[in-house]
Amino acid sequence: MADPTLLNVEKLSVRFPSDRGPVEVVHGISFAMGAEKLGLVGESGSGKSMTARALIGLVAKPGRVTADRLTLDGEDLTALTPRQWKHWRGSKIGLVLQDPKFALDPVMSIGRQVEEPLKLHTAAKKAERRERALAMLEAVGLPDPLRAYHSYPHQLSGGMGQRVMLATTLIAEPRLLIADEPTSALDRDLRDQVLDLMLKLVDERQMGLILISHDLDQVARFCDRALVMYRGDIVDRLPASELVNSQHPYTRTLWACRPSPETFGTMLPTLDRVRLEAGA
Amino acid sequence: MSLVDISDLNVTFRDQDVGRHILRGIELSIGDGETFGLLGPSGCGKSTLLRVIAGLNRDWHGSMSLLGQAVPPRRRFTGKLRQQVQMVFQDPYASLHPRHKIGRALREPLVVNGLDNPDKRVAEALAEVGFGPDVAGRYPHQLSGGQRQRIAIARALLLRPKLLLLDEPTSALDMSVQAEILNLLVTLKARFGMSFVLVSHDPDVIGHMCDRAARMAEGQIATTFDRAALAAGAAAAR
Amino acid sequence: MTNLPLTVAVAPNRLSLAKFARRSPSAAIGATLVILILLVALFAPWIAPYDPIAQDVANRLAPPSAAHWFGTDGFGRDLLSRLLYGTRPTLMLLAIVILLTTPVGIAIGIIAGFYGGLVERVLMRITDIAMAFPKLVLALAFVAVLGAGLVNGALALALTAWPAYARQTRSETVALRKSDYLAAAEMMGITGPRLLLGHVLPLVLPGAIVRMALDLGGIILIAAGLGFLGLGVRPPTPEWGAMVADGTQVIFDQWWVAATPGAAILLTSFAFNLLSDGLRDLMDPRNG
Repeated sequence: MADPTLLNVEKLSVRFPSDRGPVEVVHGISFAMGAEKLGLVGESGSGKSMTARALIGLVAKPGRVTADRLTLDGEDLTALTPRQWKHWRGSKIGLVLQDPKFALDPVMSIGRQVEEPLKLHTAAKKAERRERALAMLEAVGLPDPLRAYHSYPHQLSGGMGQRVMLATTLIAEPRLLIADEPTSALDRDLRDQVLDLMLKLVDERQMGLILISHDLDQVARFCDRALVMYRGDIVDRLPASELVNSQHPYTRTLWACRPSPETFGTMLPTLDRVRLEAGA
Repeated sequence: MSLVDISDLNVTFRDQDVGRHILRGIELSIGDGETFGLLGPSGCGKSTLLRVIAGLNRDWHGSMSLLGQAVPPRRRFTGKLRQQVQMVFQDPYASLHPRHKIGRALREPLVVNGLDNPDKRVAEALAEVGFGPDVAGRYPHQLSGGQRQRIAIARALLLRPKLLLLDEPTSALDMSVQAEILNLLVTLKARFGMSFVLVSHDPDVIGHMCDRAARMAEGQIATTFDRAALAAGAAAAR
Repeated sequence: MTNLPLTVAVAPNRLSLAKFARRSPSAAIGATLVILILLVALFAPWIAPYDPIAQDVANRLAPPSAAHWFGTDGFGRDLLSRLLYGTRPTLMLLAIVILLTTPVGIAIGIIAGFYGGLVERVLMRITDIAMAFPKLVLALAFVAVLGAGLVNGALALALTAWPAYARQTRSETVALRKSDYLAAAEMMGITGPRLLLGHVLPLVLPGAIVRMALDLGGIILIAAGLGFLGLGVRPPTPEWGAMVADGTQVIFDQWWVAATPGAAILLTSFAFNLLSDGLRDLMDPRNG
């Protein structure tokens, strides 16, 4: 197992107040990771995205995050002020979201958006920033970095947009990258390309990656380890390559319920939610 | 007998006085009892084609016959034809009227089409998709996405269609819910002897469900697959 | 597989009063004020300490006192009583304007938006024309021709108030026309009035209601304006605008005669504005 000191999470909970008392959407989960690729799998309502938001200090009000321990690179994240979070987000933890259409500023040129983190977190001069931005745009596989540098988000396709997102996130060289369903807004053929690229960049920089996905197959192919979440709990932890052999009923059904040409004419297995909740 | 017969179907869209083809020269024939898949990237025209067959888009040229009956363009579907061609939409959040209770949403089509015993039929329709009659008093926003999609399926089946059009019926749903919905569709198809046209961007869903399929690109049918080709995974390959 | 347990989250169908107040304090305050004003109008004969038109010339222009809380006007009439009765013509005028404008505006908007084409173009040009008239000027001309009076004033206001509803409803309907809700209804053979009234109307109505609440504050001001110019309700029936006009003659010596009806106009207009602001927040789809 990789060096488990990069991120350490103990009893992380996220609660939201409601009319009928607080609702806990993440129930005190614990995990640790090093510079590895961790897949966080689950369906809607499993709390996987909320976990990611908690790790990056973006749980919207009136949500409350509590944890016995939450450290990145040995530094305590629970004590960060909003101001400090701002710094951490750009420089230590990066986040890639599902749809670049909503994450990129439509009226700011790509170049400026890629440079922005450098402006905020480093003392790099203008020329240097530009050089590094162009290098980054090239690294994420844009065919014509200079043209991309001067273009605007609406001029990019979805795949290109997601590459730009990746560039803006990685340019400040964070230690941990969180990717929340980074490919689900993309056409199928582009998904593997974008993930391959993401993995390559993460490997080169020896960063940690948390890949949040509903697609077990994707996690199995791209990650080292997998955590399976259901209703705010981690119900299954296993090496990603073992997802196919998992003994946990939830993971097993999730794996087996995917349709394919081979399942033609058969009934797909479905979740026995009652038993699952009784067991959990 | 073929249920759908389309030849030389064109749909154009006027954009600043330049006619732009959305569908070009579509030839399509779907047999009774078949599940036919339409596959392709977003913007390829597959949803437009489905809406032409549904009678929602009536601005087309060419010739089409549905259920053995010639259908001219620009004519609203009425009577038996309207009842026998039904559709399940992609987003169950957007296709069930937010201010109508489930009971009303299911009862109204029966009343409008003059079917007898509407209350009994509503209860039966709910039972067909795994609900008890008590759900009739709920609003759509009180149900989950999968539950709403089952209600939408129940509604589409009320009028006992011969042809059910499915527009990405599971793409807004979780994987495990998708499995439930696909199973439900397969079961209901056998029970009521329907034919399906299934639009999806997911070759796995097409491969699981369809007897034949066509891949569309830029408003045309690019490739057609028979079951053997689908079984061999041809739909997933480029 | 079709026997999955039905786990339906029970969401409350209606907002409780407390929740309503918490989610939008301004709506709650506005609603309270509006209800108070309505009650005053309804029960004015019982609440008012004096007959609003009974003159007491010996006691004219009396300052506020225990007997006359807000003092008396130039004919010695009790100002508080006149103020309380004054809610009646104001609310009556509002009611007439609402009844005349919203149904017309919404109907025109839905028909134009849903059918489009020539129907839409003709209806919307008429709407534009009606909208182009300046509200107060048209109302003045109208009243000048038909004579002063509450109903004529309301008619005049209604004439220029409906286009706003037509426009807003049309644009909401156009957005709906492409929606799956209506496509699904069409697939079921639901057409014509049934579709428009049963499916389109419930979706455009909240917007129109918010719009209406927003307009009410303005209509109150214009109604008071008509009264001020002597074109509203005929004297001696108490009406706030006319009362302000009466008070201006003695504004430097007996300021309360003009100030109290002025404050009443302000308060009422403010109440409706608060209510509309809050309603807009509550009905915003993002608040679900």
